[in-house]
Amino acid sequence: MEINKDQIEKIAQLAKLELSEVEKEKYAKQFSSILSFIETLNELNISSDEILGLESEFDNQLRSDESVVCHEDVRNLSLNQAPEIENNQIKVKRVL
Amino acid sequence: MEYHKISIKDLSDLLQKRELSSLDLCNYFLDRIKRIDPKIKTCISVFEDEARKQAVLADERILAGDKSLLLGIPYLAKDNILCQGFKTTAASKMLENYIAPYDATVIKRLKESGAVLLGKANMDEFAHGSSTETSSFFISKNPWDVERVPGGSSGGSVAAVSAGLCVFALGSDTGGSIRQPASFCGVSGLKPSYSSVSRYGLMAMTSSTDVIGPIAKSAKDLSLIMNVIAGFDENDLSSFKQSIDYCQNIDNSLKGIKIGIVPEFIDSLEDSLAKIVKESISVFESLGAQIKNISLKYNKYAGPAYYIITPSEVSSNFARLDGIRYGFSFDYKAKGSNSENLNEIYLKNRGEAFGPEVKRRIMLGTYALSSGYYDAYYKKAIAVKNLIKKEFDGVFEEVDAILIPTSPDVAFKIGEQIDDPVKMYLEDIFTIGPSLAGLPGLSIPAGFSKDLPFGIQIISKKFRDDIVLNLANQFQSKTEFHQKFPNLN
Repeated sequence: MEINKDQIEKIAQLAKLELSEVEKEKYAKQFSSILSFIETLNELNISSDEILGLESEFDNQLRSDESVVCHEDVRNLSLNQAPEIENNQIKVKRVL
Repeated sequence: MEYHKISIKDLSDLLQKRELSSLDLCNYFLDRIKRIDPKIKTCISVFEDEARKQAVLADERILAGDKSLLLGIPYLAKDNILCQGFKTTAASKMLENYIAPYDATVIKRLKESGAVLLGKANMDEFAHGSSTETSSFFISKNPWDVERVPGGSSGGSVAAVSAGLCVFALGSDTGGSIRQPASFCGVSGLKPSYSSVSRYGLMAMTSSTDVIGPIAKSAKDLSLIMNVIAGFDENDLSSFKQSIDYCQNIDNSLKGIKIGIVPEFIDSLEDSLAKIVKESISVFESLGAQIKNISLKYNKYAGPAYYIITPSEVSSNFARLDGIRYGFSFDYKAKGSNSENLNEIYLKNRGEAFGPEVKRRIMLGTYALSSGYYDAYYKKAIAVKNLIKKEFDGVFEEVDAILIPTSPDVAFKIGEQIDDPVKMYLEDIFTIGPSLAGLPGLSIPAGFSKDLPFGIQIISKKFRDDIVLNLANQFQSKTEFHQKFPNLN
């Protein structure tokens, strides 16, 4: 399947990746060849039942809904790597 | 004495008998790293002071009568495993300043056992690759031929063990990232059964197949490490609850063991490599194993399925990497100050900090999971994953283990494949299937071609890592490939 530069641009925006024009060209080409590789799966006849009836090998593992103490050194190490802190919270640029 | 050529058990004996101190052993390896690593560049960080501190502690414990087998044994950890207070970078610009706030469970367990952490090993950026060429910092070299890659993504860990810069190393394997470099560098590398080793503190890539595993010079060494790092962890609720003794069956006779081989896989190899695999099969026959031809007809779909599943999970796991929380833009007042809003900061940070392979995978995953494509790609890939798993289940009703090549060729030259993503993905053609099925897979050295190592891969049923270790150990009792070392002088 062919992917063009515009589609790459849209995917990149969705993935929150700013790409240069050179990157968009390069990735469009590479994407197309990767998708051809992936699309060999179309050789297999997989029924929609097989897709819908997929069971997970795991049961959900739950723990009690209680807050767990975070050690102060762990908290400090984590928070102090943010560019701006205010009241023990990470301050970011405005959302809108 | 060449301590880097000695097994964990024998080193432990020397330390326990006080013929050698842990501090001396630690300094021996730190010295080797200083002298040899500039040629092969396996280490991102070396923790000289911390390592010596841990070695001194190990000596005190030995004096007090502690007989733990890994006490005082130096190792390296792949740089996607968190070590509290130290840089953990995943070989990415995104995390080049990131200090881990806590220890991964495997690191905690190894600390408790008294093993000595020397530093962090280089890797493909965020474990995305099969050559260690995508590291944002530098390319690691294969100790057998420094113009060739060590394989990836645990290339640094594997090359360090191969070059004798540590006694063992930790890597991670999602689609082949321990096994393939182990084949390229002539060492023993185990991808344990999925969920047998806690992933707490391992930077998540493909959560449904990621496993931390050991790399060492022999199967016996691997089993000792597994007994320390494996086991249920309440911080990783996907971890397997039953405890396993990985050393228990390692010396069992192979009489009556049934090993499956796949003739088409062997025929697909170049002659000298096919010869190595066939000779390995003969070794197992001489040990009493019965060989049976089997078929893995879904194997050719493992790669395509994996390269949908991995990017999909990656695109989700990497959403947390916004460039704000993990140290990338600690100086963003200078870097991003002309960005008006949060969205622009995300776009800029992520665009700047991620390398090409990481971006490709994030975008592939975003595409595969997006509306209109989810059923066609992701759900289909999961259905294929299930078919592959069922095929292995069927095979294991007839045989106890499977023997196949680890990689399609010996180590390739640096730069040879970096511009061709699909060619790089095909490196994993023999390792992805077992990953998708969650099975244990072990690569051990089985011969040389053009003076380069080539490994064979032993696979067994889920949670029967003891079988793969047993087969590997018996093979190593009859062959000497695992005792060959590259000449780095």
